[in-house]
Amino acid sequence: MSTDEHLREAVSRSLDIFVERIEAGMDQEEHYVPSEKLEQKIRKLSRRTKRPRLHRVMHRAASFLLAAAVAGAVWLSVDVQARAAFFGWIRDRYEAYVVYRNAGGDAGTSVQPEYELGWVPNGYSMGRSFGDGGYTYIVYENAEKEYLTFSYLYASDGDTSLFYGGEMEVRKTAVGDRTAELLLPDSSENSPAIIWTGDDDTLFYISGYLSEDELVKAAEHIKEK
Amino acid sequence: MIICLQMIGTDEERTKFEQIYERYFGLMFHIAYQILGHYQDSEDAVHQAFVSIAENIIKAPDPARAKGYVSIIVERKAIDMLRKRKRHTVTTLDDDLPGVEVKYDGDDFLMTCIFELTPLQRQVIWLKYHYGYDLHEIAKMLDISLPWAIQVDQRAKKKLKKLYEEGDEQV
Repeated sequence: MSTDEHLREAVSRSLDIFVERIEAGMDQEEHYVPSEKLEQKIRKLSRRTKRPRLHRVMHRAASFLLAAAVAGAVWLSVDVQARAAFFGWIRDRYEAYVVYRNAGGDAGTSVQPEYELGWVPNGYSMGRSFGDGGYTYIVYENAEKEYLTFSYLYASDGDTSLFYGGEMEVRKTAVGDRTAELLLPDSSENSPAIIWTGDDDTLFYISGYLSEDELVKAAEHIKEK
Repeated sequence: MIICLQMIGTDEERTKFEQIYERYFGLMFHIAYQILGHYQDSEDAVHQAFVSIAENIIKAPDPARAKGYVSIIVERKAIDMLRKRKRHTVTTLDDDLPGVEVKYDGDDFLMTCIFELTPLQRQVIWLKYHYGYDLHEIAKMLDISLPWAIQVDQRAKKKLKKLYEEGDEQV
């Protein structure tokens, strides 16, 4: 047979011809007007595509539940060099994920405070939020449907892990007088994030397409509800 | 408890989706109608195609070069609908219901061979060699299983080779 390059060229040209012939057969005078029903369905799909990443995050969370159940504690031995104590938490690397695992601290309080951001960049307002026991996740969004997420995780009985996905640089910074870590992804597909702990070892996390200064500013202005 | 966090979406994909819809709805409807010959069914096929496009929006080509891509997807969806309508639910690797028929009368024999593949075979070949998707991605886009996509790809290449060599011998 001919070369691979010839095959690729022929494949590309055949697709061009396929489309050209179809277009040539279209009646230029005739305009297909989509029905209102189809337009509604398309609008619904269009809204779905606005938040593809959030859908995938949830899907991936389920995948990791499975992965952790299978792998058990094995992953904690992976890449020991990358492990670092982070107050009551241990930061590990697991494949392309940064994992914060509670090292066994206990907040020791019966009533856990609830938090929100006291400062957000112009145009952002609080949207959805959800929580599950010791974990709360709040989404802020602006008119352009850009998202900023704030989440926090109470220190519990040493069985809590938080994954952050993607290749990234981890850099030290500070939130007030507390050490914090900036997670700076290699790809623009992922948003930068800041992560730090509060007085009671609660782990805080903010992620959004913000500058380092804005992330730090948002972090310094969290407040109890 | 395990929590997984990642980035948050921008509006970019929405714009891409809307642009694809605005640019190619007419073409897609025309393709579906050629296969199905029924207005409502054709709209359903177009809708199914957009469900697939939405699910794969990040990997979809830029709107400017998505014409071939959307043509492939909607042709597949229309054939799937035709199969359901005919209650012809079983297909084989060397058999597919007819898609859009395009006659090639040029002098590149390899092109002639490509147009002799079944619709599913040429769809896989186009997505793989023109757009550069891997078979896992193609399986998702065409809503077929990965093993099926692998077999269709292998069978398509084998058939192309055979057709091409037979053509050579005749010359």
